[in-house]
This record gives sequence, C-alpha cells and structure tokens, in this order.
Amino acid sequence: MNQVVSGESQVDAQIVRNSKQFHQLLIARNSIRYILTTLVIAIHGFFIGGIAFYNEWFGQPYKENSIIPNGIYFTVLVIILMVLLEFVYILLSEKKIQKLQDKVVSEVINND
Amino acid sequence: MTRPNLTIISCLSFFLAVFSKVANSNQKITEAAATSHELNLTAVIVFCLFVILTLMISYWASQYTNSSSSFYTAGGNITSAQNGTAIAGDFMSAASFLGISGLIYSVGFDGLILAVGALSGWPVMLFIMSERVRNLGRYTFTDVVTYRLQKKPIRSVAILGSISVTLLYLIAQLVGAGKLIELLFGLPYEYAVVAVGVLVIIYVTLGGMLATTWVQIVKALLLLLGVSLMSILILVLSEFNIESIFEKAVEVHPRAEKILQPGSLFSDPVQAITIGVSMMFGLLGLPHILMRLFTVPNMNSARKSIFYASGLMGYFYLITILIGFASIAFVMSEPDYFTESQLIGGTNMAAVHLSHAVGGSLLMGFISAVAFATILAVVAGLIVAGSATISHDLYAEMLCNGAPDLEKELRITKFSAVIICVIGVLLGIVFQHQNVAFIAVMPLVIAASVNFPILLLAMYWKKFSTRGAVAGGLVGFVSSISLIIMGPKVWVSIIGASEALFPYDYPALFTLPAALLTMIIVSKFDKSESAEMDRKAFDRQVVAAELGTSVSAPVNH
Repeated sequence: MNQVVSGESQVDAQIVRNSKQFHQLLIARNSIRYILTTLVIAIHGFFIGGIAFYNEWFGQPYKENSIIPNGIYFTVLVIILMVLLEFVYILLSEKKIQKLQDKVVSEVINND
Repeated sequence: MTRPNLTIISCLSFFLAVFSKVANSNQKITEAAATSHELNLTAVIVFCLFVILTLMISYWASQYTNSSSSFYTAGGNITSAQNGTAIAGDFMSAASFLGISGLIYSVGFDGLILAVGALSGWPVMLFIMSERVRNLGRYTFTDVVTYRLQKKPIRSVAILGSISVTLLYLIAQLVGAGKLIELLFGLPYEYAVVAVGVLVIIYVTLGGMLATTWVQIVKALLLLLGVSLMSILILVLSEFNIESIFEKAVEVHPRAEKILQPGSLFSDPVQAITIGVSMMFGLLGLPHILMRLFTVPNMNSARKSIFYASGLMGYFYLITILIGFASIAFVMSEPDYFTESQLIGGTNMAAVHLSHAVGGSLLMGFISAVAFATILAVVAGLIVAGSATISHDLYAEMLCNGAPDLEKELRITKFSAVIICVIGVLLGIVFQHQNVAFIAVMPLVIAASVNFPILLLAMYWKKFSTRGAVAGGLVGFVSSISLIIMGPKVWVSIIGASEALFPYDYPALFTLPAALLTMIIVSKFDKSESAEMDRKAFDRQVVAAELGTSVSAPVNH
C-alpha cells in the first residue's frame, strides 16, 4: 500500500483519488466528521450561549422540592453527550468506514 | 556503573537531601502551610514513592530510547489505551483539578464553563484532526502542515507558534508548581522549581517520550484514584444525598443561591463566548497534545486514543463538579481551613482542604503528592514537545533539509530538552512574584489563533497556499499577543492602568477569525507558481491522509 505515495509516482495517488471507491470513502467519512463536528459545536454553543443569554433558566431548580438547578443537569448532559458522540464516531468508523477503506485497498490499490 | 544508573542515584540523593532539609527546617515551611497542617508525612512518602517509581521507569525506557524516533514518539509503539491514559494525564493538569474546583468554590456555577470548555475540544480533535494528523505527520504537527506547503516559510511560522505555546505553558506550569509545592510541602519556591526541573530533565533525557508517557499514565491513574476516593467519601458522608451537598453549599456560601446560576464571573456574554472559543480551539493547536498522536502505530489507534482520553476526562470533570460544590459544603464552614478570613493557600487549595475534611491527613497527603506528580508529568510532556520542535523542525528539517546526522540530531534533542527546562526554571524563578495569570491565557489563545487554523486549512482546503498560511499565522500571533497585553489581565493588573484598552482576557473569538480570514483572502489572491504546486499536491495528501499510507513522501518544493 505504501507504494501509493512512498514512491515518486503521483499518477498512482491520482488513480486512487479519482476512483469511485475512494470517492465513496471520502464522502462517507467527511459526512460523519462534519455532521458530528457541527453537533458538538452546536451543543457547546447552546451551553455557552445559554449561560450568556438565558442564565436565569440555568439557575432555576430542575424540579419542585429540589435545589439542584437545570444548569447542573445540563452540564452533566453536555459532558456525557460529548463522550457519546465520540463513541458513535468510533462505532461508525469501525463498522462502516473501515469496510470502505478496505475496499479501496483491495479493489484499487492491490489491483493497480 | 552506567550513566543512567549514576544519574538516577545522583537524583535520588538530591531529593533525599532536599526532603531531609525540609523535614528539619520548620522555619522554611511557609506561614500558610505551617498554619494549616504540619508537613504531611503521607505526602512526602507518596511523593518519594512516585519519584522512585518514575525514575525506575526512566531507567527502563532509556534502554529503548536510542534514536530520534524513539525519543520523539516512543517509536510509535504505544497502545491506544496507554496513549489515551497519557493524553488524559497531559490534560488533567493541576490547573484542571485545583483550578476548576477552586473556581467552583469561589463563584459556583461559572466554574463549570471551564470544565465543559476543556472537554469540548476533544470530540472535534477526534472527528477532524486525529486521523489526518496521525497519517500526515511523523514527529510534530509541523510535519503535517509541511506535507504539501513550502517547508521553510511554513516551518518558521509553525515553530514560532509551537515554541511560544510550549514555553508560555511551561512557565505557567512551573510558577504554579513552585507556589503549590511551597504550600503543600513547605519547600522554598526556588528549591521546588529546581527540583521539578531536575526530575523532568532526567525523565526526558533518559527516557524521552516512552518515559514521559509512562510517567503520565502513572500520574493519571493516581489522580483518578484520588478523586474517585474523594467522591466516594463525599457521598458516604452526605449519605448519598447529593441534594444535601448543594443545600449546604447554598447555606454556607456568602453568595447563597447565586452560586447555582451563571453570571457571577462572566457577566459579559461575549466574555463567556470568547473563553469557550479559546478553550475549544486552543486545545486543537497544543503541540504537546498533537505530538501524542504520533506515538501510536496507526490511525485506528490514534482515534481510539482520543476516545479513551475523553472518556477518562469526562469522568474526571464530572467528579470535579461534585468536588467543587462539596468543597463549599465541607470546607467553607470549617474555621480550621481559614486564616484571617481567607482560605489557607487561596481558593485553588479548596480541593486539597476538602480531601483533609473528608479523608483526614492521609488522603490530603495522597492528593497533595498527586498534585505535585501531575505538574511533573505535564512539564515532562511540554519539554519533549519543545525539544522536538528545536531538534526536528528547526535543526533536522530546516537547517539540514530533512537529512540530518541522526546521532547528532538525538544529541541536539537531549541538549535542547535541558536548555528548554533550564530556561523554564529560570523564567519560573524570575516570574515568581508576578501575576502569571496572563501567561496561562496566552498558550491557548496563540494555539487557537496560529497553530489550529494553519493545521485545519492545510488538511482540508485545497486552495490554501504557503503565503496564506504565513500571513494568517503572523496575523494570529501578533493579534493574540497584542490583545492579551491590551486586555484587563496585563493592562490593568500588571501595568496598572485604570482601564483596559481591550475588554476581554481571552481574545480568541477575535484573533482566530482574523487569522482564518487572512489565510483565506491571501490564499485566494495567491496566483504564484508555488501556490499552484501547493494545490496540485492536495489530492496526493488527501490519499495519504485518508488511507494511512506512507508519510515519508511529502511534496518537495
């Protein structure tokens, strides 16, 4: 596989780049990357934006007869969500993307 | 006797001498420490055990550290679980543990912004950075940006960003270390900083990245064990009623229920947003964190490393929330922890006092020793990153055009590790009486404004050119330093002016877009021949970045 770029052959890398399989891999991986990154930035944005502009809601108790405010639950939720989204990425990378990557290696690089 | 043996024995003698001096010299114990607790024997024992264990690790690692590759990246043989734990160790610094819990202790909810901010960059690191950075670089993040851009100009800017981030981070850590050790162990400030420097030089010069990684792993596990013990004891003492901890906290804190809502510390919304931006994107440009991606064998391991690290850090920050509010409930109402109405050692010591409140001297000693170990490990990681920048980026790649004498490169690596550490120690002593809060701000803002945008656009934007990278990097560097100097922390607190020229301490909300915009505009208008070469190489880079093919064939201009 190293021959793709370890040699001086730009053509080999170009063949891989233009192949349908590599295109599929790139689209799939980038879609997951960009969607999840947008989600993380949105969650962090809601958290910071909420603190900046809706701080009263953050300070209100989550339920009656409780002193623990919404903000604490929201913070815990944000931390758990961040780790969960990472787990989703790992899962998708191993179950779906890796197969596409193996396909590029077997059908494009090895055949070449 | 071999050189590593002699070095380790000399080091042990040095530390025994230092600690015996401390044990026999109550006058040297700082006033605050003397008022609070006697020199804690548990802390000294745990710390000495940690030092002995880590020196043994360094000796073991020295047998495998015989090339630049093994020095910079442990030969790429670290497993993802080990690397993940080490990365978590790198990031769970004393600032995270003592700083965030101390901030929650003093202002309540607003301290959580830092906990979430610190964690929020990691998913982005996993999604868009980890795999491509691993596949395109060898030793430093600068390798990644020079894969298709012109080596000399881009390396100059990247080295500027890398060295300034590393040195500033190092000074902030060392000054914090000196103050912390002075308080916890009663060791005079200069001794403390020199002791950290000597130990770190031994770890790094003997064992390079392999020793540094294992020191981080040991420290991370000890820290997680310590905070877990604390949280269990807090829950037991509150009869597993978290509600009662918050009720007590509100009851004893002078700000009462205001500690449960945001706005105490960051009353200006823009301040909260710019801190969030600095923390999230600053992480993505920290050289010593990015360098850890090269210590694993492939992109899959790099990916998993970040996931493991985030899992550990997520757990750590959740516990920090409990520790922060519990420190209000358990410490604030106890007069033993105060002198002249002030918390002994300042609010950063809230977690340490809490450990005493819930676990007595034994737990306090353990937590104090772990806090010291934390600083040692983080400083070691920074020294490895700094020395790699000088020996690999500057000497091997720039001065020797990528074909250095390998033995000479390794010697320069070790020598630069010593020099960086000595400079750090000297600056740490010079800055001991200064307010160094601004130094702690600078690395994150510079990393977010220089390293991160160059890295992002180099990997993802085809039209990015070397001229764009250099221009944007310089704009990010100059604007971030200028705005920090014009901000409240320097202009008002240090220079003494009545009003700051720029209202925010963390200017990344402004400097990051400025750098990105400059990069985009200059690259768009760059029609030079070299820019065309930069763009032509993009497809080849994408193939290498996505498939994990050889990284030994970056484009030569």
